Amino acid sequence: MIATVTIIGGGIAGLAAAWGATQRGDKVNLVDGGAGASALTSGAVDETPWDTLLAASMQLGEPIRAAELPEEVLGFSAALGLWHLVPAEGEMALVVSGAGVVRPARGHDRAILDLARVPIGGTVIVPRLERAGWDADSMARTLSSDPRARDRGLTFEASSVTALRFADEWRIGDVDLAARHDEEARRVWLSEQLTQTLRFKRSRHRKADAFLMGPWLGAAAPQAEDLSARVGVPVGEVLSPVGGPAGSRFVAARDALLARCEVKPVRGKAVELQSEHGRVVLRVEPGGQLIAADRTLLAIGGLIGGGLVYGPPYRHEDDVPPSRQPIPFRLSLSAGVQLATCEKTGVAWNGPAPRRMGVVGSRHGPELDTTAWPHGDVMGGLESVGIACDGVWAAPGITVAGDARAGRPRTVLEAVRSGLAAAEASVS
Amino acid sequence: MSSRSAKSSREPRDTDVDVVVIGGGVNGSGVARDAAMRGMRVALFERNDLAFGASGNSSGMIHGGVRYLETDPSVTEASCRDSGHIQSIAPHLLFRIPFIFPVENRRYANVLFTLIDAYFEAYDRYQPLKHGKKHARLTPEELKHLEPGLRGDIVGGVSFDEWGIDGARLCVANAVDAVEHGARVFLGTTVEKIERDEDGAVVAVRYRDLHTGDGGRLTTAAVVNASGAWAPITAALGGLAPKKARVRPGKGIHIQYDRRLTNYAISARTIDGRQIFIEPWQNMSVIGTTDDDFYGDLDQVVANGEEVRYLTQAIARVFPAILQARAIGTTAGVRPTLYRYGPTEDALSRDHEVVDHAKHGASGLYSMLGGKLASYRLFSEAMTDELCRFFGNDARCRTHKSPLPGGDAIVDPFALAQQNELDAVTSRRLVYRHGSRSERIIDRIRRHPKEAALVCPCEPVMEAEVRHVVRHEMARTVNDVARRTRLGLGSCGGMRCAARCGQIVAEERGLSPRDGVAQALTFLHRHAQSRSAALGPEQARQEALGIAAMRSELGVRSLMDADPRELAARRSSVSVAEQAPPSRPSSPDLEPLSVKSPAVEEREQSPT
Repeated sequence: MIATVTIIGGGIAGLAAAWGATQRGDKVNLVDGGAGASALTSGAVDETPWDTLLAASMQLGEPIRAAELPEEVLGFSAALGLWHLVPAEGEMALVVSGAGVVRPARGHDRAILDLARVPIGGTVIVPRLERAGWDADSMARTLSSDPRARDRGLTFEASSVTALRFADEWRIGDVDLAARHDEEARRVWLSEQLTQTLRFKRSRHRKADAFLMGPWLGAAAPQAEDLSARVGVPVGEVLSPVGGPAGSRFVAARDALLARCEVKPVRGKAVELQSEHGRVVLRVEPGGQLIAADRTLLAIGGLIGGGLVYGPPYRHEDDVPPSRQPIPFRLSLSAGVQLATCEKTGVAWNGPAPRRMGVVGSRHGPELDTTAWPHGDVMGGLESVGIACDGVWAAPGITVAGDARAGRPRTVLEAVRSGLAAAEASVS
Repeated sequence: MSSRSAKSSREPRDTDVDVVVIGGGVNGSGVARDAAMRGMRVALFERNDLAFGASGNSSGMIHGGVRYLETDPSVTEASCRDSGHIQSIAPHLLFRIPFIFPVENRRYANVLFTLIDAYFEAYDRYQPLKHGKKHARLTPEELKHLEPGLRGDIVGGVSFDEWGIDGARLCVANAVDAVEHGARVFLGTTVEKIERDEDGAVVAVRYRDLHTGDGGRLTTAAVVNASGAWAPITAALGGLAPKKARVRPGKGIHIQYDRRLTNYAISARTIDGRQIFIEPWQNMSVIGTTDDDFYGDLDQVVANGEEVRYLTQAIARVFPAILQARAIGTTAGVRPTLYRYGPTEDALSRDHEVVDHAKHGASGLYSMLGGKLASYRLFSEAMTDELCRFFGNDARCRTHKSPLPGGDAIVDPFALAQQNELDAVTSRRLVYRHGSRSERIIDRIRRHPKEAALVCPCEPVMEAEVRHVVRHEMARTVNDVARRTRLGLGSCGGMRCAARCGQIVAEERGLSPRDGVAQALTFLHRHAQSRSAALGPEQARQEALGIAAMRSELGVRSLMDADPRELAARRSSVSVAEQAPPSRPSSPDLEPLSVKSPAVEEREQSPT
């Protein structure tokens, strides 16, 4: 008998679950309410939070090697076709944030430059372009002094490169500029410019071993590999800022994968979930569509995705505590699950169990001034709240994946892993 | 500068300076300016930054103190008079804030209304002193017409007129002018001891740079304790009992919203009957303020959730839309009100007082107690008069006539924008902050066109301005730049500009780029903490995104491990005149290929 699964959330966890369930032959309904954390991704693919990784490597005094990933995670990544993942036991990738910080990653969107692939002692060219927010000189200076870049003997050099072609390109957004590199003709043109720079450098016996570009190399698909092949040295991006092209590339890859899996997403907001005779019924607004399924999977994200909502009661004009909001944190849909917080990060893999949340002690909500932001090892309230789970189960018939789970690292690969696990639990 | 009068009534002493001023608030920098203008050799010490305390966290008004008319009419008159002087010496820093005062319907509301009307008629007498408009009596319909968002059972109201100002800019302007008159300013430097001789007279101060840890000694004939709420602590450094310079510290907070929610400032009544307000302030709305006795650490004053709720609740009674508005930050400061035991905070006098500690056996040591932003100049004048008597200096005060930096000429921001191809808003904000000195920043842009790039798109702040405030306004960190330019304090919370600003500050000051990143993190974290007390439902979501973005861009963990001391300024003494611009690191690269100026050529060839 074919099981029906409703997946709420079209982010990375929901996508992994949809892929996993269709692989097993389940019928999948996917409800997507709009952009969340996955559509705002930086393009780095982590398993463990990178600052935890860095702290561990500093304590051990040696770089951390990539751990082995489960077969099905690799299978999903291959199906998505968006990422490059470092092979097990390999050296971690080194990617650059827009603020000029070099950090390790388990993998990355294929448009991102991996400094670990630049020869040791090499020179990375940072093009000087007339774009607001892009200062190649200070980027090069900041990166050259980065300890992880220095470990590899990398030098960063700002250099005048013609990479903008049209007059409006000094001011259009990153995603718009990235979209222009989806065209092959434009990539041919850009690769010619980069090759010229390379020849010029080499004719003067100067090194040029890679190009570090801004987040401009493709909005529909990562185009850096094509450029690298044409130029002959690695060409890649820095990590995307919030709302940058890495997110739009994820959305494009997701839509393609869902189409291949023959899953047609329902656009709308999941508002109510009810168990009836062993089946769960979901109501979607606007329209009030009812979707029944054997299992429901919540991949609704944390506060960023909007799956969790912070609603302080004192905000109400009538000054009466409203009955629908007994606790300041709640789900964006009504369902029979419980919320929890996890107070520590970094130790989440085998650390303390999430603490279940009840009604807070103050009618005015919790003291966000002291709890909102992370402090040292202690996670901030806004990023630690989630759904209390036993494994992936939150309630009979309801599983949870991704950032919606309390007490788990909020990383891309953790979302994939939990999405696949929840899909599997749904069919058993 | 060196026209120092002979100290007729004193033995001429061979000291490093004549006066040491402790405290870089508006009173400290005001005294430093006045004393330097009257030919004294001045050194100013500030342990944090200029305008770090109450001056930079005030309501941003030089109001006439209509509140004090009942208890202290002399304060009202002095405030109004001096408000007029400040307008003439720093016209660029002022902006009009019209107020409306709605009268709620309750028992005897009409009698109350008539009384209020009469009260403001009394206030009208002082309005000409500060070029303000007279009050008007308004019907409920007129009130709703002026501010459609007004709610509640209102029997009528009155309008009156006040002036807004950026307190931090006022401090900086005074300090820069003091430096230009020969004063030395030591920021991030704390005074550890005020040394006195066997007769009790002040002979020197010992100080320490809080970042480098380097100490020093500066001999002086007089010390002015202008440290605001810190005054008793400072007095104790001179061996006096703290109560000889006693103040009653009153904490006040404000909440800032991302836009102008109203065109008029509106008064409201809190649950305990206090008057508070919502005011349009530059490009924001601000609500304030609380007044609570404060017993905590003065270097760590932040607004908390309880205070935020106390204020929003009161404003929501007359202006409910406040509950849906987006708060972008809170500020907190501690007022140094004159000490009295017993009265409630609001009933305390806002008057000021110069204490000559000679009567306590410490000749040459003075404390400035009390005061308010609006009367800083008058207070500084009174203090400097005292110093003149001490030194037998007969120079007259000129601070009410001599313009502050940037206040000597009116610049048309729109003409400036057109001539220099700037965005009109950018130009308007630049002229607001720098007045005629905007020309100096524009000059930088003419020399380095790249510096027209916006670092902070919210405010907006151009790269040239960041470099200018580091070189000429003693900014040492991203926090300092934010205080001087409001960079990063807008609706994006610094997410887009702090890292870039850190890079620029590091470059200007010859620090490593990592120091710049660390400074940016410190700024982002402090600012986020101030904001989180006021988060609403949608903002909590944005805040979670902000935290995630920061983890991804810079790493939150590394911030927590960083030692804040390390992030503080490196150089202790900054003097505008001698501050040589650090040489820009020369680019290792040559111009390659045939293209001379890629950008220009591209635009010319552009098919679009």
